Amino acid sequence: MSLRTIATLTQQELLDALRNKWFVAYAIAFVLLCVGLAMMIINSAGYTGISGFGRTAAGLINLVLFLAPLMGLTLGAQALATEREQGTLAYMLAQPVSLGEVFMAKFLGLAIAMSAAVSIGFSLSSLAIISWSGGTGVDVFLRLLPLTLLLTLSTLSIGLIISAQASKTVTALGLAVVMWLLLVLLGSLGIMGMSIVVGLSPTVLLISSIVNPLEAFRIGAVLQIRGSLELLGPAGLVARDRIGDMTTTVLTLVMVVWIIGGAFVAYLLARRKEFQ
Amino acid sequence: MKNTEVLHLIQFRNVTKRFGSLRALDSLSFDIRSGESVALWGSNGAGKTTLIRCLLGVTRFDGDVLVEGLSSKRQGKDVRQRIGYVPQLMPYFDLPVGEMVLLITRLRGAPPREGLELLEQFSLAETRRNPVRSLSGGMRQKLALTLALLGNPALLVLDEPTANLDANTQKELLGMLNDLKRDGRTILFTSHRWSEVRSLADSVVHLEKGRILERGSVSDLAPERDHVSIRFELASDLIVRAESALRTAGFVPFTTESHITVAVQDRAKMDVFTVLRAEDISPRNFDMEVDA
Repeated sequence: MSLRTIATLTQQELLDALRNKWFVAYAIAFVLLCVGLAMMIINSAGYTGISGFGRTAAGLINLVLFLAPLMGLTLGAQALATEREQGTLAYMLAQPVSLGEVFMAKFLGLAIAMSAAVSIGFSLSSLAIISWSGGTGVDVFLRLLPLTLLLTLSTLSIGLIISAQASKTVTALGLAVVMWLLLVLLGSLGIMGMSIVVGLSPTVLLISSIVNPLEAFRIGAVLQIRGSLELLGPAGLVARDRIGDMTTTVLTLVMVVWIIGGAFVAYLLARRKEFQ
Repeated sequence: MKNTEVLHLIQFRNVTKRFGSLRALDSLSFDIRSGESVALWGSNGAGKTTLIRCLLGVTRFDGDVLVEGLSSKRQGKDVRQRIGYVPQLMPYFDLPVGEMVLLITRLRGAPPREGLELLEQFSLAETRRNPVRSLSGGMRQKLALTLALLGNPALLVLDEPTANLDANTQKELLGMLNDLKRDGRTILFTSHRWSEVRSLADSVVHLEKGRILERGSVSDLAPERDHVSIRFELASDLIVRAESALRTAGFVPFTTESHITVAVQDRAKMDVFTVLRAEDISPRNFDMEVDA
């Protein structure tokens, strides 16, 4: 692989992201909602003190859980499928580049663009809090930023797996939304239901939960903000009991495995499909 | 590098491509000399585009294709560096023309000014800020040719370069390609239109069902060829029915999303209209080209 080729293609992916109306809409929504939450933090800190702040922190976790996976999954799912449908991918592969370089650039370009959108949202919110309330609550944003980036990139890789298999954008987007629903809703509900029906052991239940990157984020975020997992009830207590002080490390590793492993699987699938 | 490899810019060696049980290409072997202009001639499904995909190294296949001695299977990037590729229709890129030229210039390692000079040469400089998708079909094909020439590749490969163009734009593009041929450029192109083959090619490889039916110079094969190409514009929902009717009647139609082209002998040209009329198919428009 040529680093110069990857850099050229990544630069182009970044420019393409700025032209992508989906990306721009997500970025604006994310920034506005983050700043909106910051305003709530400022107001709740004044009237209800630390309890209001706790509610807003929970609101921030839910905002991230809702928007970041949706952004990662749908933008990732479109990445290859749209280009395949429009014939632009086939044209690019007829140039002196390899599929590996094109794929790497696509991943890096989207990862940088989405990370920038998330970071800008968090930074503007933090600046608003600092300038209007002297900084009370800004640490929530700063502590959640790394986990939010990991969650965004994990779902980007899952989106790319979808994209590697889909030939049409509409199929890829449909599958991305189904995957989002599975991860957000059915992931935790399904595991709860299954544990009742099958009688899963606490350890299996914990593993089943944290392999879902959204659950890994949720547990990690609560741990970051509250310093303990009691808020999550028995599941949190099991996590604390089984993993102990390594919880943050394990959850981070889960998401890193999704990012690197997911992207690698997506590349292998794309290679099989493109070179049929 | 051996002398034969220099003389033969491209060497197809037992190229076989299977899609399941179907042999899209069946043990094809032939060479193309440096400076030669070769047409891959044949109907839809003959294997022309698949052979080009093998040459570009963007599909799996058995056998090998060598370009200047380099294998498209093992040294695909190096092979593609030596090839300027023009697709049947330049895809709908969202980026502006200038940005597209800059991107391909960088990927091909061409001098930065070359893209601008080629845009000027092909009268595309005015379109620099326009998105590629906003250009007309003819302008997009001229842009595809511009991009294919970046980095001065040894070989120009064109896949049905004029299939989607009107008669005037076809002539303009063929004129440009003939200029490149006169400059000594090696050209490999696919076509289903004998007039195009006659205009641009030195020799012809006639493919049908993945096999070489015949190979020879244009002048050797010309007397056996048909002399009129009729190009119909049809509603898209009629294309499949029209193609089927023409095939059943013994013609070899070439279809795109909105057009069907049929090559016939001059005395049989009314038969094509009769077939369509019998199926109650009314073309929106048509044009006719005589290979005189």
